[in-house]
Amino acid sequence: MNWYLQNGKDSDVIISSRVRLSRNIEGIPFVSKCKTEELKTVYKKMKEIVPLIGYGLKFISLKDLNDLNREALVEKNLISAEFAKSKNPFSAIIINDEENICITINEEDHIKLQVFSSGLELENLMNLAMEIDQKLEELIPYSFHKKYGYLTACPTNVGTGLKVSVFTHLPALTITGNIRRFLSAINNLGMSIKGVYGDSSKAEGDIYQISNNQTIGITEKEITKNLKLISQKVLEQEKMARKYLTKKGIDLEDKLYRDFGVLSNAKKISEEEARELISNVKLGTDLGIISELNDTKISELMLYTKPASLSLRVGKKLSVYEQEIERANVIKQILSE
Amino acid sequence: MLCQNCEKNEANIRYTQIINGVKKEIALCSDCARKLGIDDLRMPINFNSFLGDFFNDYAETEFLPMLQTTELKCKTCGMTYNDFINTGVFGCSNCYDVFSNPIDSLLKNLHGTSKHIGRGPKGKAEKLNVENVDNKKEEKKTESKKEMLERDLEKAIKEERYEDAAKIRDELKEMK
Ligand SMILES: [Zn+2]
Ligand SMILES: [Zn+2]
Repeated sequence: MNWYLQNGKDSDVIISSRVRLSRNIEGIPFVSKCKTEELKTVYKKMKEIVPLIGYGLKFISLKDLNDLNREALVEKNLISAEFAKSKNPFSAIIINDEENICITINEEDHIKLQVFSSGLELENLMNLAMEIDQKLEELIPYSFHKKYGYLTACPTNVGTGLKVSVFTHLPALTITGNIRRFLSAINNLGMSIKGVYGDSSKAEGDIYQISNNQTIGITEKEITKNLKLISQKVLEQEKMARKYLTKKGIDLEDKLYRDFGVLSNAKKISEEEARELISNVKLGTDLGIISELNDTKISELMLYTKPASLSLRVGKKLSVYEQEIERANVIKQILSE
Repeated sequence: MLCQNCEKNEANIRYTQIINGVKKEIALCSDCARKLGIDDLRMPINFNSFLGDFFNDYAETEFLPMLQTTELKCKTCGMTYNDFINTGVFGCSNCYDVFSNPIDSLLKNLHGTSKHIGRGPKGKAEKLNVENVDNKKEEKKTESKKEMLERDLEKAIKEERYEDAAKIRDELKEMK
């Protein structure tokens, strides 16, 4: 089963973890200043070394993927929305069947090595990323500076080139009105926290990404340790807020079950509405209030209500109106499985 | 209050960062904040609490990358520091040496320090050869070799390694 449908450690609050290393190749300009033949050189070299890396990795040129497939990669958080739109003929990804390893080629940096897991799994991810990185450095010369470390196009990644992220579900902190204060507290600890969906005024689905800001002057171990400490704090605070909510008894149960009722009975439903309802249904399931669902079903609901993943599951490209109808159908399918 | 970077516009953004327990605050105009790539951290200034520590920490403004470095240009990729301010990304590895002064300030501002202490690559992989070397490219290659030597020369003089400097100068003469 793919990592994003699995149930991980503490995944009632920490949905998933990601470790990302940005790397560039010595002697070739960063991507924005690359000439075509330089992009091609990076592309060909990476393609050539894929079998030597192992892990069942495959090289896929982005130009061989249609819009729907690219969009689905974005929805699974494997590549960025900007990269999905890339017109560069030498953009590529290196990915395995489990999709827990995804290396992007010729995005902002020549190489972005990413590993993923459901739940809170930072040390294991870090070890995996380092293991792959050490294989890569035997095969390609990294751009490394004595003082500045691994050089990256953007100075926010330089040094270790390491960004560690956790994706968290914080509905109780939101419902209890504590989220704003909480966000600024995390910011003040030198971490960035932002809503994954929706605009800056409202994080749709109450899903937030927390990552390290500092990448230089700090070791890889410390970055991982800090993220883990923060994650544990987040876990603790959200759980406290949930405990407080459960004191409301029947009022909370009524609200969450009503949302479950709408989600499971709607004949057509928009992506945004589904996201909000799934957030509360997940909360209800994690609190043991809603008994009709389990973690895998929640993960499936989260994934297959997104437009491209929905269209791929149904097997054809859908208009927005058709999506709303099919989304309601797919939700019913998942619930009755 | 005026922006602490350009000292021209009214400041309307306060940028705060705490790194290793050291709090750094700076008042910026929205223009400069955007140029320095920190506008997404915007929050409204609370002048009451801010003015107090501001005068104490006036020397802190030194960590901001100043805009008078615009003439600097990377010979390898053609990027100027102004280009960087506009795009937010550097063009090549050499940029990090060419712009090392403003980069030091920028990194201290972003990360609290500018010295890498993490791991480094142990592998000794061979350099990649870029294909399609036509005549024009060949010309470029010798050009950049010359530029590389010029850079080494500058560096040798700066570091007072005069013997090395003399050697590089000889090598340069031979190329002409
Ligand atoms: Zn200014
Ligand atoms: Zn450059």
